[in-house]
Amino acid sequence: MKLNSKSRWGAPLALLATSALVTGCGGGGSGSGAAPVPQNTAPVLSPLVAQTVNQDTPTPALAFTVSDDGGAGAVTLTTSSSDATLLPGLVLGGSGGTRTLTVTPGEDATGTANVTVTAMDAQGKSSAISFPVTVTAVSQSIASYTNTAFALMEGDTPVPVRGFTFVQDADDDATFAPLLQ
Amino acid sequence: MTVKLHRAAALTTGAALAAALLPPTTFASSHREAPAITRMPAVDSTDFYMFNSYESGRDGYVTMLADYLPLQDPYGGPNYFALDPSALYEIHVDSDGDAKEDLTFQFRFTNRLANSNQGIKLGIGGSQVAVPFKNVGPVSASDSSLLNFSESYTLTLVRGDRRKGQSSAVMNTADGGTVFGKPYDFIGTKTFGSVQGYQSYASKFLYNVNIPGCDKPGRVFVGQRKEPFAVNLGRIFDLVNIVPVDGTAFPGGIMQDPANNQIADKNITTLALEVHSSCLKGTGNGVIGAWTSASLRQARILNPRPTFSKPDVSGGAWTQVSRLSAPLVNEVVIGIPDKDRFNSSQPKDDGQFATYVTNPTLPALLDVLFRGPVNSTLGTSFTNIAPSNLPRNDLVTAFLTGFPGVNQQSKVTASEMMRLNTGIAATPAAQQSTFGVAGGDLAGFPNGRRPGDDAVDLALRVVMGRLCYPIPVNGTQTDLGLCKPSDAPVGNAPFTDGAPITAQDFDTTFPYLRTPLSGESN
Repeated sequence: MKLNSKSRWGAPLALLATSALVTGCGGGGSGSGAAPVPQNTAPVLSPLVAQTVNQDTPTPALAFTVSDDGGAGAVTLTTSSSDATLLPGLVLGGSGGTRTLTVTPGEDATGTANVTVTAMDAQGKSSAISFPVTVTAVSQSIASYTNTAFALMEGDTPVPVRGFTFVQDADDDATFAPLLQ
Repeated sequence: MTVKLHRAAALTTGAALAAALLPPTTFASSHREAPAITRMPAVDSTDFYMFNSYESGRDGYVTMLADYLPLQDPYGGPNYFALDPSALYEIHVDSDGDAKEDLTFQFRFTNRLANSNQGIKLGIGGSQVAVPFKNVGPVSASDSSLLNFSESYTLTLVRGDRRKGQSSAVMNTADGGTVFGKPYDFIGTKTFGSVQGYQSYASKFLYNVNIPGCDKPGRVFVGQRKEPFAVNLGRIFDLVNIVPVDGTAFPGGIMQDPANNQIADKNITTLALEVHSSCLKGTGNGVIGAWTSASLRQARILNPRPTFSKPDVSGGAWTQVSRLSAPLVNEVVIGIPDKDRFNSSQPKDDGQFATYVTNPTLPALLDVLFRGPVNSTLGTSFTNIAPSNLPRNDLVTAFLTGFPGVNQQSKVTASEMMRLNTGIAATPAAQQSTFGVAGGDLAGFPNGRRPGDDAVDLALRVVMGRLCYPIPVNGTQTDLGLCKPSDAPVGNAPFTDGAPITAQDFDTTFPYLRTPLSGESN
């Protein structure tokens, strides 16, 4: 995988974020006397729906919520991908009960994989949600794109190469004949 | 006070802002240093030098040497080593410390055959037939009519952004011309008569030039020269197949010997430019930053029916493929996945490479290779000989920000540039210290870089923690406060590749680099 500035700095942040422990006040109990000890239940995550993005393009920040009878602040979130080559970049954001997840595909990778977010409370109860992310190829004709590149002036910004699956054109000298004149 | 300010600056700019790299270490400066550039040797920059001119009578001038086309075997005929006519070669100067170019000198080359690009022809059996070689007879300073191939170039100064700024042509002071010639490579002494004959021939291609907007004329020369870098190249990359500590101080260490310079039999091609400092300083404090780069047009179409003048066609935007200022940065600091991206990058964006400087891998590799021998030889029990002061703000200071009072610009932007204080007088060749500033010679590396500065040894020592120990500043051992001796167990060891180099290995006049080695005997 080729590193870029976001992934270089993003990766450590992602690692930190995936095990983030959000601090906050826990929920208080009520009642009097010898009230029964509340039954601890697993945290609850709102669902995330299937995503489809173009190759080399991250998803938007996908919003979801976290709740727990011990308070969202006591919940630890982790993420995983069923295909770390296709979906290596999983970055959590937000805090408390309002969180986000941004998924970044690997360079030039296409296909579908599942992303799982797991929530664990202080007592070890956990729950998880999963959703598929499909990364689609963006096909580009080499001949067409070469003509696009040729049309730029010397001082222009070069056209990007990342983000495309290049398609080899027919083996024909005539393809570029006009550019050789 | 200076030290404290310096340290504060380093920490401020360090891990988070810091940009890129250090130079450090060693080995072949920047010859074939990144995977993709190995496929494009004509645009592969190998070394960049910048120093206050030490030729007699040139006080106030700055010399910049940008070397390209690495590891030329002098006998490499019949086509030898032309530069790429479809490339843009540049030398950039940052006058104010923002890591962005304020001045850019652009070189563009044109190749031609004799006889209106048809080549010299001989009458063979009634037919005129083109010869297969680039020269067919003797060549001298006064007569190059039997030379079948020639290179020329234009030199343009761009003020401001290198792509969007104002450009104007540099002109020959003799005739106002804007096209300059490049001498043919040193084929051999039969072609040029003798070494002196080639020297006389090549000297014709040294030009005095008027630079737009500059009060004083400069000089320019482009041509083949003897490889100026000295390095124990093959052994270094064979898992450092030497003990890289001076043998006079460490049992079994390598001894200094010119024979250890394994590229001593090579040539390179230099783009040499001398400009008065008054034209380079701008509004800054007199310290300038500089680097060289080469770019190609983004698209290239191979001609299925190639001719000499059109083997291919290039078009589109300039796309940078090579970059160099301090030696060895891309070679031994940047991780291999990012080397070609470094070549395409600009100093202003060096923050993306910061981790390679603050957390360098080379010391760790040297620890693996040499901890055992060090401990067994010295009777020590070091558990790690790599410096432990991470992030390495000593390296950030040394290579990304410059030293206050020496080569730090008034505005400090952590970035990988060669930095030169134009106000520090040049040291005559005979008095230069090969260890530059560390040798008590403020006019040397890392205050710019002269051909005779032993950048390999210096960089190796710095990366292994030399700055954690006191260094001589104006004759006084000075603690820079960047790290402690305990951070660098072998930081005071005389690391070396055993390939010595000094100012005596070079000329004392522009362009300083020596006449290339002759093809017939090398």
